[in-house]
Amino acid sequence: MEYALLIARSLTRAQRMWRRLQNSGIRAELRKAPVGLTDLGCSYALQLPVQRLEEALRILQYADLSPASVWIREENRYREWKQ
Amino acid sequence: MIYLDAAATTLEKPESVRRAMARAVREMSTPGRGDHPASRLAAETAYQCRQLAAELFDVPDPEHVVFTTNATHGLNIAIRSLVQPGDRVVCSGWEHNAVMRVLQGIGDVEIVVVDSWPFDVRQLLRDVETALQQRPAAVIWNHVSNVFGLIQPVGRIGALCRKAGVPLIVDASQSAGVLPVSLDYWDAAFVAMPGHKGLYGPQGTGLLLCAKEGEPLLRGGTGTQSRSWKMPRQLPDRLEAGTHNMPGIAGLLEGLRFVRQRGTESILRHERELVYRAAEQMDRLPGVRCCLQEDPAQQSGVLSFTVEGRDSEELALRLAERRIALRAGLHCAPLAHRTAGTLEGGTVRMSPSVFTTRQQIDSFTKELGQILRESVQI
Repeated sequence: MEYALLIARSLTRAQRMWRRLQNSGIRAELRKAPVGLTDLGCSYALQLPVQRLEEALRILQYADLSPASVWIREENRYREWKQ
Repeated sequence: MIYLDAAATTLEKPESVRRAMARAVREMSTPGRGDHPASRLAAETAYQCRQLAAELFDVPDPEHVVFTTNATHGLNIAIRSLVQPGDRVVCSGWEHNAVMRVLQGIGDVEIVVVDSWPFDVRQLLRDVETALQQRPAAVIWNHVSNVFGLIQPVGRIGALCRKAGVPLIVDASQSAGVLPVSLDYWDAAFVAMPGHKGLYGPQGTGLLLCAKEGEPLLRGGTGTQSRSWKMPRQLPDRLEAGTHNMPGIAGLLEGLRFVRQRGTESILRHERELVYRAAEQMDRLPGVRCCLQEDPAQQSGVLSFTVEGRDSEELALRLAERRIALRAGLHCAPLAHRTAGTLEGGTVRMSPSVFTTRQQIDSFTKELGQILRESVQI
């Protein structure tokens, strides 16, 4: 299944991001990110449909809540997404 | 028991606080660890507590609300973040040992105490302005004295600090939940408060409002960025190592909701009325001197008194035997007593809460009168 993963700097930051998207009509799931995804390990992320990714990033950027990194899961692997 | 020691901790809590704590013990694990329902519930509860605190205390966002174990913990973080050995700091003459002992512990800190007694706001502000010219590392100020209930002009002191470019740390231990507390309006670097006094949360909780990043007092696991052996740069994780006190935080959230629903103005009005009621009755008792501000606007719901020829601890013990709970002695604030001239014998302190009634105040003063009529004197 394809989806986007927005990595947050902290759990609290992820919670803020989730709320902002929720209030803007974008449903996302707050979850732990795969351990091997980032150099630092153990992080929280928002999972959302790829189709809503760009809109979500605009909303978050406007609110000064941009994610630390963005990943796309496709064909059972993750690739980093850069604007 | 008539409990009149809310300045130490509020014994009577809203029922919602008790229920929330019981639920947390049953259903919550800890945020930032697992990805299962018990962890998610804990995470959501913690976030709501931060968010409500941010709204109540004018903090830009919930990330800048840090959970502590009490105000002392928060003050330790704040002071150690800003003050190094060899620095100069400016503080009020009413500071608690939660400030003074930290400064002593850092070592080689020059402490400039600005006080005025009797309390004169204009003179105080002039003296603060003069002290700021020496470019201290920080100004540390007690919003309300835990001994005398004196309300200090923190907003105006914040404005002076802003103008001088000196960071301000505010001890809001006796004001949170009773007076307006605003990180933003005060332009403070840090504001520390306990959860278990005027916020009606349980013991073991506190909040540190942060405009600055802060230096960790405790280092350890945060559930994030675990590959790194350094504490995260970001708040709140940076200052929150270890497992959270979720029953405490769940209770504190309900305490905050209670304060929001009641309104700080209404709570202050109630406590102030009781304090003046007590003082008016005590003034008729021989040898009793109440330490109240002439201007009620400078007085919160904390009342200290002395009785000529009577030891303060002895009096408190007599009252405790009659199931009236209050505190005596130096109240962990010898500097405040030094400023007020009560260092030798201390004072007896009476501090009602939102749950204290007029009848309880009347019973207290009646019992005090009976004690004073007894034969034993020191």
